[in-house]
Amino acid sequence: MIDFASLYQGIQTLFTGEMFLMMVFGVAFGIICGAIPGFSSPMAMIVLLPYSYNLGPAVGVVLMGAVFLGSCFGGSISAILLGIPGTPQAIATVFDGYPMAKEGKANEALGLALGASTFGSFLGTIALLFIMKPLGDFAIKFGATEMFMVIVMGLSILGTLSSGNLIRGIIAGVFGILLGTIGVTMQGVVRGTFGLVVLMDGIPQMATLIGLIAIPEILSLMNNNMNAGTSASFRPSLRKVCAGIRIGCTSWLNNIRSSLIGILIGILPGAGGMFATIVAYDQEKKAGKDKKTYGKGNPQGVVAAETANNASQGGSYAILMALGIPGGSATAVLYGALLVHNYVPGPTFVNSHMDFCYTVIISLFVCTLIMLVLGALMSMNMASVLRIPLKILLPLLVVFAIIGTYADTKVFGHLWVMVILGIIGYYLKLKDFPLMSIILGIILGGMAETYYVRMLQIFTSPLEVFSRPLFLVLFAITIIGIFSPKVIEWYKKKNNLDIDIK
Amino acid sequence: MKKLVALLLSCTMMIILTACNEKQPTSSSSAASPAGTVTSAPSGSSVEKWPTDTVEILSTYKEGGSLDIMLRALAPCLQEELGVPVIVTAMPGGNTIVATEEYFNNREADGNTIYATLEPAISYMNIMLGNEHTYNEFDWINVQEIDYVSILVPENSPFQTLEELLAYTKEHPGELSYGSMTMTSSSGPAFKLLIEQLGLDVKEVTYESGAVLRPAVLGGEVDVAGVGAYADWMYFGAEGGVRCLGYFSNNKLDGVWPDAVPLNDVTVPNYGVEFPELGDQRLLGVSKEFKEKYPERWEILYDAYQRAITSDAMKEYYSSAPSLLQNNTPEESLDLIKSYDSVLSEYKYLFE
Repeated sequence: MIDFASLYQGIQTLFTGEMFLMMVFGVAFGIICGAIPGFSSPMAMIVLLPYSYNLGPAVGVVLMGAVFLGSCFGGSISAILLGIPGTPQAIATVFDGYPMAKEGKANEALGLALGASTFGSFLGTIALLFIMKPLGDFAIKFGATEMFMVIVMGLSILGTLSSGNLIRGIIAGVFGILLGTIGVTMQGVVRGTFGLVVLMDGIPQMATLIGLIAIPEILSLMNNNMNAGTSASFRPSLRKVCAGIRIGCTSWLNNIRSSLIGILIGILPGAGGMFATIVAYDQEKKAGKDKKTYGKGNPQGVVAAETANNASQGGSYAILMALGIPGGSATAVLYGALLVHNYVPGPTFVNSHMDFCYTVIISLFVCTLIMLVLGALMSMNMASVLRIPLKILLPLLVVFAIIGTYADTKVFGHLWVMVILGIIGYYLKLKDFPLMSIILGIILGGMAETYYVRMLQIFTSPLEVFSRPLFLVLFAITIIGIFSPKVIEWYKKKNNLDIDIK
Repeated sequence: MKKLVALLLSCTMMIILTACNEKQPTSSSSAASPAGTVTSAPSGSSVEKWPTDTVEILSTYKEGGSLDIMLRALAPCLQEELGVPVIVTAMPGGNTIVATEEYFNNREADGNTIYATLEPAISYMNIMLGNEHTYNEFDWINVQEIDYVSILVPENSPFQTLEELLAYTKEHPGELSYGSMTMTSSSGPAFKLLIEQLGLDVKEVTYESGAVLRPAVLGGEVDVAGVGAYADWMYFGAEGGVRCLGYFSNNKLDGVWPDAVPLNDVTVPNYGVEFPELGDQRLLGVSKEFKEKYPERWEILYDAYQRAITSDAMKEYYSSAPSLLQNNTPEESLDLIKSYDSVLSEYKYLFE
């Protein structure tokens, strides 16, 4: 429950001129960084971290939080305008946001992303304010078995992403899973690296995203006489952005469902925002009425992805504050920012520093409002990128792709990984293989293996896992998620009901 | 509009280049020289002005683990002393080989990158993976922490003492699960040795880092876990949901886990088995080439580091476990690493 005395103290700390300026600056910086392909949230935060050391404890941590929040939304800008996710968690925004931009609806798509991000962020922060401790307690109930089931749930999306060609989707997914096994296992076994040190940590995430999304798209555009559907006649419009915002934050069912998914996945260490957006997108596609239009510019697809993206931030804060666990790289940077000021996050952190926690939480509400205003203005102006002729834009994108890949890990060899994946991706795209399935396979396959091995170590018999209630619930959700559309379709057909379920 | 687009593109390019570039000129930038805290180079015309660029601490482990936490606490203090931004880059993977190769092959030996790792990772790289880089190729700034492997149980565990736990484990083969980290952390070989020497039959569960293992024991996924006694105390505290029953140290640890006992206090009288002291050495170093090429920079770096770890901020950070912070000379550090390497070499079959 809320400790009102601490809340009051926390709010008092927050409302100073310096704090407000830092929040505005942090959100703006985050949006710009997030919009740059390859420039992830933790990278944006790391750039400012050394400068935050000399700020006061609350100001420094709030600044980091503002950057994190801004970059979560910023990633959607390049995902929509260029088809290249600015941050990994914007991957699902590409599915419908980019087709919308191609149809000349970039303003509306950006507005949708902003409205949905605002909603997700608010709900995530509300959860953080009221149920931070229970969320933390819930998170530690997720053991290897539950995490494995969550990942299986994610892998079941491979079929959803196959756009009607299930066989190709499965082949692509399995190919991705195989690529995901590259690297050194926890048991010290080196697999599939061909002796290359750069592959010892597996296929790097950013090189995967840029290599399999950006490069094939760039090559396709070059091969398509530079016709991307973009136009010099495109006009940025604040009115259209605002119209998108309205829809983005009033798609109630989608907003609430995706927020809950985002918060719940956000609290799981290692799962992260990217996974949350994919699951939310999948659930929206299953629940949505006009399923054929998903992946072709359905606004609700953008809403689902972006709501979950920003809501997951609330979840990741909850586990950081309640348990002291940095669930991902961005929260690890936040963790560092806390350490700088002698706040050592851990299970007793919240009780010892309640007012400080409230300062951080309330700052997220304020930053969300700042994001709404700045996001509308900045994204509208950034939409002008669509007016740049492709002969200029494409070389720039190649440069961004290279720099973004290198900036992520600062390992030169990862550039080669990106280039090779790009060439493979382009070829597979020509053959109509869904590249997203490969990406999911690479990212989730490795995680699935880790948790599966751990599950085998803990349980002597595979059937023992069914004695865990949470596992059973997740198992049931996955099974229902996979088979319910087919069952409903069969039922409707049997009863001659004319409802579009494919 | 074209101007605006050009401006935006220029801004983004600048940000990207800032992120990629570890050489941020700071001489004319107040932002890069935080709060006017430039105190690094002693006065005197003969002394080189260094550093002028960002100093990076390249960590071989992922974010959130004990090494990462130590480095993130150190970074601002070192930044204060060096007068330039100090950043921590976590480059996990390949059982620390990725970062090690990156350090030697792609980072200039100019002192702008400091290497941070754990021993036993260096031994593991050499013994098991055949990596050519050994501890002799470094000048070690300090073994900053030595953290003996802990034996933790959840708060609601029925085991109140280490004696009870070990007796129960012996009497009930295959029932309890023992969680440890990979072999590049002391927790891995320590628990393997414990299980082997006492003939325990347990479910061995491996975790990639303490950041994952700690919540696992807190949530009861494993019955017993081994991380690091001091770091566990700093993380959990006395009422953080777990209890430490013992540790792989021969002596009682000052100020932490008052009810825990050295492992040998239980195993020697009850089982006639004596264990070596096992615990992660968290250390920072630079390549030998750097010290040879830039002896003055080494002095600046070493002095700044000394001031950093004796600063009030570091004392405050270590206030709950002061004995964790070590201040060893480079020679002492090398001796500590060598000595631990020889212990691990004796049990190298555990790695296999």
